[in-house]
Amino acid sequence: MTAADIVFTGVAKRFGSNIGVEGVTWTGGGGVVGLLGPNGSGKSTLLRMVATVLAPDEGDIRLLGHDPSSGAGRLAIRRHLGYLPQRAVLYPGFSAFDLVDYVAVLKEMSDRRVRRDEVRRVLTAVGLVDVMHKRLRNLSDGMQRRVALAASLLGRPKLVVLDEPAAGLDPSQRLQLREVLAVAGREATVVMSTHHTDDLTTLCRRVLVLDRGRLCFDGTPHALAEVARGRVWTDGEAHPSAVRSWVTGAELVRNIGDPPSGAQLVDPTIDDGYLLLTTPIGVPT
Amino acid sequence: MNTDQWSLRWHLTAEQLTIYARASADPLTRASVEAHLVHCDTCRRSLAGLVRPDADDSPDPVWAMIADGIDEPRRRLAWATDAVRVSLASPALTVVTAGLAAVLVLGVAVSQVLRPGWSATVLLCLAPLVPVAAVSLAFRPGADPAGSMAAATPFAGGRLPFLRALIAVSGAIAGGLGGSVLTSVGWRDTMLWLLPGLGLSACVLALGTWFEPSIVAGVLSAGWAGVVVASTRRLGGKVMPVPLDHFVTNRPSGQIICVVVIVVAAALILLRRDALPNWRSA
Repeated sequence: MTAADIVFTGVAKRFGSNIGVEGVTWTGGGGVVGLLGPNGSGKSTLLRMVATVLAPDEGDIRLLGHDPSSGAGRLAIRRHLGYLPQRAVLYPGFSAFDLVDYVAVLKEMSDRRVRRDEVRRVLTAVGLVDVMHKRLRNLSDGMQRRVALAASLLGRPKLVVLDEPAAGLDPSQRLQLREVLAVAGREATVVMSTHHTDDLTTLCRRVLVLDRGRLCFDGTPHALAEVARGRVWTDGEAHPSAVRSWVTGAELVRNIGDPPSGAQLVDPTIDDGYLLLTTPIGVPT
Repeated sequence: MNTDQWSLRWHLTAEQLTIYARASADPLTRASVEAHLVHCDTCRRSLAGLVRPDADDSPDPVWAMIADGIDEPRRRLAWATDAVRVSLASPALTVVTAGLAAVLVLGVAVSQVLRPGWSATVLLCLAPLVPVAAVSLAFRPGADPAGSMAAATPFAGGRLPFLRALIAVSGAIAGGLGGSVLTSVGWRDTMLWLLPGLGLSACVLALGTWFEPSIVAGVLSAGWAGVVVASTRRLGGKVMPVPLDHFVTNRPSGQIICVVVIVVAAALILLRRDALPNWRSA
């Protein structure tokens, strides 16, 4: 695990006339890195490139010191890679154990005893050891998601790529996920996309924000909140100069944008910083 | 004979106890030793001196063996290598290949009953397309039990889709042979459909390193269907079936072209094995 496990230089990916990501230059590694962005902002595209399953149209990528554009480089990266895609479609006729064992074979774990022990370890880590012999069709969506997460942690990879790992998990399962990722983040570089900003504050050393394919923020969770410092205020109603306004639990309206004179400023949160960065100026909602 | 008398008759040797304590005894010896230990206090005490509970953190080998037996995946083939096992572990590919082969045999059988003269044309049209469809499916992430997770594993880098393609082609060929039995093509003229089937499948693999395999398969399938349709004849305003004697792959020149295409495609596959679809466009 180094600070330069992932190096993107001027990376772009387009799908016809649609922009996936554009001009992404980023060097990262070590611990858990969170990726935030609206739907369609390019998070999954970026993560698929980190997972070596998608090639960029432009730019250069280095992962764990290897070039993924060559077959030898991809093989070297994949030997130390764990990947949880956004939609992990798993064959429902396999049991959880069979599926993870199958992925372990794909990860070149040829020693049967070692492989079985590793399968039990990762299924235990995600809390599924009691149901590991049930077929996937008999498991809930959240459990199936955890089976896929377990498969991504096989072999203690140096680089773990997780596309919305918390999707479909209940609050208790999310807490367990945080524990698993906190442990993984001590040994590996973990890159995860999420829509849960509270996951970022508890897990991530570093946060990236993508908007319409472009990287618009790279810093600590605290720095993301500070983006909105002096630009968040509460009032009795939505203010016309705010780019976003919403009703809080105290029946106050929280506004972000350019505050009017005399506004009651409040401490910003990660949500405020994120919304300020990703809301187009002049489009109040 | 009471237990003490029985146990005093003989005792386990130090070597037998050591082998048992190291868990390296064969199953028969292990069973014999355990049967004796049940009745013999002396040997149990000797064994206790050999086994130090803290010496080894690994689980009891017997329990580990039982756990492995329980965990053994049901659909795996014990004799197969990992490569063959993961290649066969695609229910979608297996079902579709078997389904296509069954449709081929059924289609030929139905045409044999309804329009006997056309059954060979149906076979020539469909038989080469079954392996083409199976090969294009082998490249799709949905064909894998682990979906797109499999694409980011070391095995995905060439070995898996190529192995799956080979297995799919083998299944499709079985279907073609089944169809041949029902028609005038028969066993002796298998090359009429087998050579173009292998050639088209090899082209899907080779061109699939540049373009989406399913699109390549579609274009080549349409092209082959066109060749078969163009080979039908019109006599007195009536469309006649493909004449087997003059069909393109029944001529030496046609067969040589097929072999050349297969060899060139195989060379391209070898040279461009790095340019796999799962890296280019997955």
